Amino acid sequence: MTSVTAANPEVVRLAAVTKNFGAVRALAGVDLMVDSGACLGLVGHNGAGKSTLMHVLAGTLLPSSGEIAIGGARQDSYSVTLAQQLGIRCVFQELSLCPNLTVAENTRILHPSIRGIGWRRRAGRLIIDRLDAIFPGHGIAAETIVADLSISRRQMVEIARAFSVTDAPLKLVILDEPTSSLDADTAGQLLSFVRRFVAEGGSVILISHILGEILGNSDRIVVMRDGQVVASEQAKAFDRARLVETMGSTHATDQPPPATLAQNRGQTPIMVRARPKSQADRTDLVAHQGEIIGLAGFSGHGQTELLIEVFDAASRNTTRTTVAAPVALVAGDRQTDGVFPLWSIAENITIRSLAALRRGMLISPTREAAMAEDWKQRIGIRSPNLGNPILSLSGGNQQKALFARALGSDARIVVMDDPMRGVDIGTKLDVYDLIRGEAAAGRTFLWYTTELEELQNCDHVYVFRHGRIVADLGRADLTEQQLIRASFQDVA
Amino acid sequence: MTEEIVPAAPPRHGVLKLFATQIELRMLLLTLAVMLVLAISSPYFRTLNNLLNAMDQSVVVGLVALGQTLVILIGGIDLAVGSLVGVTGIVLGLCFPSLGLYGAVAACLVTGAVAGTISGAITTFGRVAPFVVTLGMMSIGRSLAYVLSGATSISAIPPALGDLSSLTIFGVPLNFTLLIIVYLLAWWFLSRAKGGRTLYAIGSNNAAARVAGLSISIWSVLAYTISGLMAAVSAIFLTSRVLSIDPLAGTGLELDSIAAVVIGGASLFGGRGSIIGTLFGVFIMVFIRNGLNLLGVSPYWQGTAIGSIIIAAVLLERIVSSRARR
Repeated sequence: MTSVTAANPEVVRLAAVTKNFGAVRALAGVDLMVDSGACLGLVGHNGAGKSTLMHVLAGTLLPSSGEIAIGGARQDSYSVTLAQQLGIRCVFQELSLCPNLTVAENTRILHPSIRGIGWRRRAGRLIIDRLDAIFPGHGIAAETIVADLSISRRQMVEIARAFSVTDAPLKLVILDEPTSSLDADTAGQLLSFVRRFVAEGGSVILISHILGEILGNSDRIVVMRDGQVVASEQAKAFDRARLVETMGSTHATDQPPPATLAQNRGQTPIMVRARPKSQADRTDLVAHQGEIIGLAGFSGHGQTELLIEVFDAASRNTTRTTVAAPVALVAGDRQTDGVFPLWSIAENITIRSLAALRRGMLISPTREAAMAEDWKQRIGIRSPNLGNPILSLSGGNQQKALFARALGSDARIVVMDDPMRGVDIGTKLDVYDLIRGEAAAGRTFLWYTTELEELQNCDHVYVFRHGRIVADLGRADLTEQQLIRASFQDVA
Repeated sequence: MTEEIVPAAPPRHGVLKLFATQIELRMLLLTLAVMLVLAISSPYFRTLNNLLNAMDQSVVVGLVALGQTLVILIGGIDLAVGSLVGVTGIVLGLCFPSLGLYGAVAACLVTGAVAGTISGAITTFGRVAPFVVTLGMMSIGRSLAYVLSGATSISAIPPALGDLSSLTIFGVPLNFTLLIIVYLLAWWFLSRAKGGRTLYAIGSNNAAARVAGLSISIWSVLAYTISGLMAAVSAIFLTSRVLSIDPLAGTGLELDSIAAVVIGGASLFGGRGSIIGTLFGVFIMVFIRNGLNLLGVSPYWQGTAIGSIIIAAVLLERIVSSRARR
């Protein structure tokens, strides 16, 4: 499957690579080496330069200066095509499948050698073979249009496509937060495939904000901070605490938060009452004022749909769903329904609050700027100027702007749809603190997430399965075992 | 990465930077350049009389282009405006005998607004492409103009309506003054009011606008309502100029208005554009038509000239604004 020459164990070597975007220096002289038959874990805060570095490696961005050598040979005119020919594949954070084409047709895009009569069938077989190998029981058909797949299945196709081989060799696969839209089950399948792939001599660069994945699957770990590599050692040399410390997180530890006093439910007024559409019994999701309510279970089991219903109920209550105050939504898929790409950071923050920023009938530019600046400080958005376009920010910082938009608004209820996707651990801890502070001040949160760590911030958790609430866990009952048991529980 | 910012280069040339970032200033410059070229090539162009004439000519297309700008900002397009000028003008002419001057004007405005609202509601709630809906509305409008008028022009217009075009304020025609006032109102609305920001939001990212809690359905329809209303206003000014209305009135205005918006720097994909840019787009088109007439260029060549200007202006805008964003 892979053609790795034992004589040359070095797959990729980057030397003193820099990349500037206007005044922003995203990479400040990076040296990086990837060995064959190894998994390299790459960690760092949002904006540390990980994604930029991977774009350079994949040939989609040209470095401002520095040297790239593949398989020991220096490349002077590096490009996407060349990277492909030399066996370097990349699964980017932003999914890159064409939504209007089928799974098989998307596979063909990467493999020009599949041609002639019956190419659809052959491309289909190639991708399904790969899916079978990586994600047994995936349930994806080659003829499905990509737009009809859930986000996690698209991610699975994207990953399987990167690992598929025709005539070009396959040496290195870059996985940029591959598990962020997968549930725990499929993430586990992927990581064990990565170990098999590496054992057969391939190489993988694994980027993840879930430190357990990095520590458990990497041979070597590279830590980036502010566009530079600050540590590169054997994985054995790290543990969670040291990784977090090396990344330069403001928090010394990422242990679960000190248990806030377990609230007795029902002492504050009910803010949200919602019942999933396919709920057969009369179970409601209930949120009292000042509570943080978790929505758990595997991804795509009706959590997002319920959040949207709660959001829509703010303009019109229904018999199944009622809310008692304005609702704001923090989207997880920030490209689709989060950011306004043509706008500045400040405009993206204030759009939910324009009515409150008016003086008379007009929006006051002074008050608008003041609100944006206030939230930049409170949530730590890393940008020299809030007038810069939102797309000049890294993914995690864009997400911070979306949090600022919701938390700065008049909404007393905030619903969050897997909001920490692609957010680094330092930012996460800051946002956890912020959310708990806001809840203590009387805001109500509904929080859909697949991460146990995030659920531990919740006062109460509802577990979803096949579009229904199957378990209702108080904070004291929330353990990983409980959660997994409930997630697998099948309703009659 | 606050710590890693390379010291930002100070704006090298203050004025140049201003021109690079402000599309309105670039358009002003382009308009002045066009005027300068025409003033040099034709002595008559320089006369006050001709300037007043050009102002007068910019009113009808300018009013239509204002509504068109709002529709294009939300990522739509309104092909019906030209035929709406025709049908609302006929309504105006037919209503004078029974409803009087003010009643007829009101009937004309209501007709335009209702027709626009129908287009907007079908594209927004029926999820039909605006190109298709307004193409249909364009055909319906022109057809109704013929049916209602019996395919003849109406000349029984109260002379009082002519005041709109003949009166002047301190030497400036009243109709042109009103045009500038509505543009200033629209500019104020788009840049500083919540509704204006909502229109930009819809064009920039519809799904995100919904999630941000903006009233996207209402404003998506209102853009077309205003466009229809502006077509009716335009019909009133057109009628006041010649004190007669024809079922063919407004033919081609949909393309002229789209051209003005595009020359003014708006993106047909929505979310990007400026009302002041559109106003300069109108001036550029009017001046060039006017200038070519004065220079004795055959009217058959004017289409080629205007077409080239559209393409050149948009190409220039792309180059300049992509440089500015670097």
